[in-house]
Amino acid sequence: MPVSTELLEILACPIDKKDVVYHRDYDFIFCEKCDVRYPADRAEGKDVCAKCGGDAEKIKCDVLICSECNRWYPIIDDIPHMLPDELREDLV
Amino acid sequence: MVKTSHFERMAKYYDRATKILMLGTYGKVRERIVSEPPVERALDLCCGTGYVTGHIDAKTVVALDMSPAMLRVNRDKNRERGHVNITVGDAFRLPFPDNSFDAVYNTLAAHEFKKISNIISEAYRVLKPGGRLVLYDFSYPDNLLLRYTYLPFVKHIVELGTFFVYNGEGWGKILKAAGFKDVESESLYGASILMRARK
Repeated sequence: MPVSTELLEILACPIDKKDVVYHRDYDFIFCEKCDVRYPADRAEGKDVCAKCGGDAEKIKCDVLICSECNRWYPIIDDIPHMLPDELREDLV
Repeated sequence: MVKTSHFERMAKYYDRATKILMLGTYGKVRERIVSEPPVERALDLCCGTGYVTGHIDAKTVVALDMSPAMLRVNRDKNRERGHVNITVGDAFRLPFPDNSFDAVYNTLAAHEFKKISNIISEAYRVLKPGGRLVLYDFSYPDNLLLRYTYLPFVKHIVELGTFFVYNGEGWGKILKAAGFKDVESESLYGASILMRARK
């Protein structure tokens, strides 16, 4: 059950409440050990986990990116994760 | 801060535990909570495993919670209901613009939060003018035996000590301070409270 258009229409950035833009199959870095994922373009070309320094794999992940502040919110298992910075463990 | 990992662990057992804790009133209370007129879009705020999510009379229901494990249970329950949409989010900083919903429901969750007034303000912000807030939670039991046995049991054994409850008067003050009008309270089975208000 993918994210519905009804939900995408109403979701906003939890910080500034501006629109978020849906990107399908975005390039991500994923560390299984830390259970952390983040967009590859925020990792400065490195494909090691920014948290533990260990091996990380390249994956595709749908993501919502704020049109104003550029914060990103992953869609994991078809569920958008719209948490503010202080509640996230995936900010690197 | 709400104890998310506690909910991650107990998601599979949450519904069974809640049914036991509600002492046979589970279905009847839910019927009372969702007895609102139909709306276009409703938010089930801190929805957990979906006590009311699939029963809210709305064309679109957005169900938000901090715990992915609780949300997965909710989604599995409502898989056949195409109007239910699930998202992880923080009740203190909702991922929605102002004036987005016709109704906001908050059930069996408010007792988790020390700063509940901040969440009520967020609910007010995302409601459209005239939109309805429906809030249900534990309260101070009328019966003294229940007050000095049931309530401490729920507080210390079930909720691990984090437990903030109010009576109708207390809730009235909180809701009015946030800007809500037409505040109504209804004691249900002498141990819980149902609040309704309008933006």
